[in-house]
Amino acid sequence: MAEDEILALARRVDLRRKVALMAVLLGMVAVGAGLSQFSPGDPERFPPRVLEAVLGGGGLVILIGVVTMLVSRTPIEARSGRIAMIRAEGMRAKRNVAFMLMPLSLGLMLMGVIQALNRANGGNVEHIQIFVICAFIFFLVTFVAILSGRGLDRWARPVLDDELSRQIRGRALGLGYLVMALGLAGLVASSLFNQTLTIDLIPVVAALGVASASLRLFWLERAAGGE
Amino acid sequence: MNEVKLGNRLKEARVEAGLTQAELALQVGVSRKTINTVENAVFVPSTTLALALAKVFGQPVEALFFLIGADQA
Repeated sequence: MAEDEILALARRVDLRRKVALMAVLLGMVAVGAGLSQFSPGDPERFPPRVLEAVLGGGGLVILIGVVTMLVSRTPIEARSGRIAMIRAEGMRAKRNVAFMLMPLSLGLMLMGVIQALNRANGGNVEHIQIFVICAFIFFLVTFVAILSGRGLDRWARPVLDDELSRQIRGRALGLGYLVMALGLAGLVASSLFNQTLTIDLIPVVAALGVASASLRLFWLERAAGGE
Repeated sequence: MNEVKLGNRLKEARVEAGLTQAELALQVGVSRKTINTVENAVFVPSTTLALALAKVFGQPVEALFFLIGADQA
């Protein structure tokens, strides 16, 4: 098979896997919304039929997505040598765009998170608040995992996890750690004066830490490429 | 003590060998960006990478990499 054909085939498989991953994530949102109904404190619940539909539908979508990802195998020729490098360089460019968009998505989520924290205020916690907070935590953890270079395919490691990448990543995560440490110090100080404000600021500090690391990574990656 | 920097003749050696950055990157198992930053003296490569690069060109490491300001150090 010619190089162009292998690349085209690999791209089709990548697209299929990406769609399957999106389906899994959407299914997880549905299942998460359903599971949050079991948390105590909120008397308002989905009707049983709706709950069953949400959990069943979400579970089915996750199952289909996982099976699709498992059976969509990248051709072996596309996992090594020049083709793997071309694919990994393409993936690097896409990851860099993702690093730039992470702060935006966290910023958009922050409004909902702070609102949820304010509405709860130590009283009865509604299901929607649990869902919003869990989604925020999930995104934070996922972003940190991506920034740390976790979950990379073996064929992409020579490009995405070589010594330059590790150095750049270390510098970016170092900045994120510094921002978060300074923010936590600020939170400790602010808790002396206004505890409600301190609680509201916790997600802001967490988001700032992750956002600063992702923007630094984006900038360093751009500078390294001479773009 | 003056600051000692690492200089290199990687670009000259690569062009002489008729290799692109991507081809050289593939041979030593790193990204094209790594080769680019080493050539521009932005990134100091590890000993392993320096040896691997020297091996590709069949030259000793000292022929590719040298210290700038070492005399004053």
